[in-house]
Amino acid sequence: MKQESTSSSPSGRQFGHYHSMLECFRQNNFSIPSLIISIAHISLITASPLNLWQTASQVMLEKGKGRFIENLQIIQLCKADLNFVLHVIWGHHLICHAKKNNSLSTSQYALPGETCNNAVLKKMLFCDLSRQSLSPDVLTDFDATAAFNRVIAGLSIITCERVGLPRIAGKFMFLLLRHMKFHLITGFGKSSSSYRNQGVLQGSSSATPIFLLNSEISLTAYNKMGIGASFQHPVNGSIVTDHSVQYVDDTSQFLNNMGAMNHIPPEQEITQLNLIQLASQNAQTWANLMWMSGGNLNLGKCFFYAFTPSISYKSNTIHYDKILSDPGISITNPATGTDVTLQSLNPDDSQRTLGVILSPDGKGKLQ
Amino acid sequence: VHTSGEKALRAILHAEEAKKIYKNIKETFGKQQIPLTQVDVLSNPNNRTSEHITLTSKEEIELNILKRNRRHSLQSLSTPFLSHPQLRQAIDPLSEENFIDQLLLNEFKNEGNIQDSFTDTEKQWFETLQKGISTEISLPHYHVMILRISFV
Repeated sequence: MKQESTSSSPSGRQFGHYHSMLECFRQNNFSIPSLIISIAHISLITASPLNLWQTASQVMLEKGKGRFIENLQIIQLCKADLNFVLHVIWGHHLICHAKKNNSLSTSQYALPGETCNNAVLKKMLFCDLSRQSLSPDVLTDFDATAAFNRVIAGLSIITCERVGLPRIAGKFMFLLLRHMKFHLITGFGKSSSSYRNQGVLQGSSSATPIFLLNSEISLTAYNKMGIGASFQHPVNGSIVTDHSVQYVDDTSQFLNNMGAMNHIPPEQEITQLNLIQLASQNAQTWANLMWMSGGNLNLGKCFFYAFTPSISYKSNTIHYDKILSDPGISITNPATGTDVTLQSLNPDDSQRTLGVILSPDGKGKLQ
Repeated sequence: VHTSGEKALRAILHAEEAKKIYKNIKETFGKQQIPLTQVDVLSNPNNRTSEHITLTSKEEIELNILKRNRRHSLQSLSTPFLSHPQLRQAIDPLSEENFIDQLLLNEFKNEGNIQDSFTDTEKQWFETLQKGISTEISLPHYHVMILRISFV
């Protein structure tokens, strides 16, 4: 098979070659594709990643913030046949198995059959319900720093095994990640030098499922430990509680007065100040849980809204009380031990979240 | 992938539609794929406020980006599972003395009694780690599955 010098694949083979092989299927010639599938299968069940699979290319892209080195986005490209194996096992079979067995949190949205719009709609629903119930609320948004690069390979094997990945496949992934060498591709071509790193091969079909199953531990633990937002069903009176919403590395936490009711002494009135203190506890819990699984928050990019909607009967509109800027939500960064106060936003301040510009007042004023 | 012809057709149509949308977006915004031939770095790497200088040679760019990517990828080294030797060994699938089975059963106890120093949050995290599903996905099944996907 001809190798191409401009191919993005380390082997020099284009994706088009695999399309050509699929053409063989259509012509009832199963020899080459069957051989490749058998090699991939043996490699997987013996936990012996092929040498060819253990190199990947890193393409550096500008994120629209200039060409400063720290603002570049890394895209990793692995071999097409390896990516196919990763897609079938991790991207499809494992995630569907976990979903079918109800092993994933309802706060998780990076799943087959879900889209990021569903996560955004859940946030909007929280804001809509808070306006209807006129309750004091806190909405905290977290940004994870270098999310995919911080996943610990050994730990990710356990988090995948937890939902049904055979150990041999986990060992295959561990060895693959451990021995993976990364070359750089710039406008000058491929680099001669390479390096090994941590992370889960961001850009491959298995990266998101592995990250998701890894963060699932922190998310489920948070939903047990954290204080959430509760709303009462207007017809049957049942109480519905929700804690958070997550789409890949974007997490938001909800808190309102009904959710906080059991955590504040009954004789004490629930004020916005109490809620901010509880939201601080929640935020610290989340930071510590993420730290356990190898992650960390990008505290400079995290922010929160604390708001109390009320109706002005004169103008028949909803307005928001002035928020307390001090004390805000403060988190001790587990990496440095320093306290960082999160940015506090007004309910009419819009923030871009999962591609949508959203503000709790529902008006979405553009920045 | 147990799929019917109708479902497969629907998936293909959906994929084609998405492709069309992305093509339209790309046409609207124009082609912006400019190969990376210049990179700005700090003149003094130890001072974040120092001036930016532009690198233009292949060797300099590669050296700096590889160094940056490596630094970027090692950020989790100070987290518990990579900084505590006992925890590090506990999750190493290649080590004969790992504690993977115990971790999945929430019975992790090592000789150093590191678990005694865990905070409530850490204990909850370990408790959540225990195995949620008793059944495993079948790898031989995967072999058949790939053939099925390919035949579709």
